[in-house]
Amino acid sequence: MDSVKPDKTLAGRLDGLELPGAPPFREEAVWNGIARHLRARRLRALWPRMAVAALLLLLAAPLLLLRTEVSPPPQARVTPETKDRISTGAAPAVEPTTKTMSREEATVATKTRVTQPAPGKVVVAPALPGDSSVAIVQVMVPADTVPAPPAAAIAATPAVAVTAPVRRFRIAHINDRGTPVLPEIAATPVPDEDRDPQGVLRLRRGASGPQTETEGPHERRPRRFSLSLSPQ
Amino acid sequence: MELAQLIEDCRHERRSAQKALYGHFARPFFGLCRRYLKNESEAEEVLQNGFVNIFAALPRFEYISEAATVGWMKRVLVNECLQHLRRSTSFLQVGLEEAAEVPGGEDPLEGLEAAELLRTILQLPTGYRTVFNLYVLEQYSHKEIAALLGISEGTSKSQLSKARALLQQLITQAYPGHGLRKTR
Repeated sequence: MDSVKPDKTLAGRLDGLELPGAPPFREEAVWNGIARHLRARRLRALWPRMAVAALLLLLAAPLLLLRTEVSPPPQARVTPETKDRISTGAAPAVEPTTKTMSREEATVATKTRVTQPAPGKVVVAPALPGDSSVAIVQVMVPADTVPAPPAAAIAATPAVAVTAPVRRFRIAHINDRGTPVLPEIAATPVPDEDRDPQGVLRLRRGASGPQTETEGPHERRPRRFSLSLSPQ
Repeated sequence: MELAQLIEDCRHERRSAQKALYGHFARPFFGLCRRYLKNESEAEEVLQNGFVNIFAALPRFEYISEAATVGWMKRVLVNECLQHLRRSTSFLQVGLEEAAEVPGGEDPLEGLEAAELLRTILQLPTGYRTVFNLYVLEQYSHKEIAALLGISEGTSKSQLSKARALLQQLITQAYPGHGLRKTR
């Protein structure tokens, strides 16, 4: 037994040896088998990751849906220009409806700027200073109405295309829709002599209107202080 | 490409590097498997499983040197061969048979061509061949062989002795002029 010793070089000689007459080593076929195993192993390793991802997606789906419901309406968009029409996706604050305007209107809109310097007064002026193609026009409108800007002004406002409509509110008066009326008592003319602080007094009785009676005149008397307070 | 770089690329599961590593070691490792197994198809099957195991274990493998890496890959393949033999019913059945005791003498492998030697080793019964391969060619100790095969150290030594005797007998039968060549 002692004569059989470990032989490292012999192993090296034998390992690279092919016996004559033996079936040849099918190197490529073995590699195909290895590659197939490695692919299957990689897929098996992917399954748990995909399962975790699907689980997370399922958990996150209700949150995403909830977020979609709560979120504000989608941003206004300008649709691509068609042959001869331009549509605006959203309207300005004063008129939250979708408007469609012709090319001419859109051209006017881009050239003009509409301002309202005072209630009841609307001024249409060129958007660019020194633009002679647009005349400055001042329009008077009834004081108790809020004029809606023309469609041209809608398109001329940059916010139309990029901002969501903002609702603006104003405090309305009960008499907004009616004609302003002065109280009769305030409308009655006052004689000049009555305006004199040194003149006679005319007292009026009754409510305002035709039933008003005037009493007087009475002499104005200087105000007297009581004795206790007057100096001796 | 250097082995270290190949191993590093294989750790990242690059298919081209895996194929290059396989191409470099496929033939010698096939020879190793062939020494343990009965035929070529079994050797190919074990070689395929062994390489799959090597590629699977490479991400955890730490490269130290080329010799250590080759040694590690050989151990993986030898273990794969032994597992295959354990699964087969013939493993160690013949090894338990009594073989004629041959008195210790000269090395029967001395002066034999590699091809002749390989052909003779392949004629050995599975149990003898396994212990012979592990001890003589893989240089495992009897203690390691006993642990690997689940036998005692004494059994491992006895199996090696019987393998040597049978090998000498087979060589004498197959190559009658072997004794003459050796004495020349």
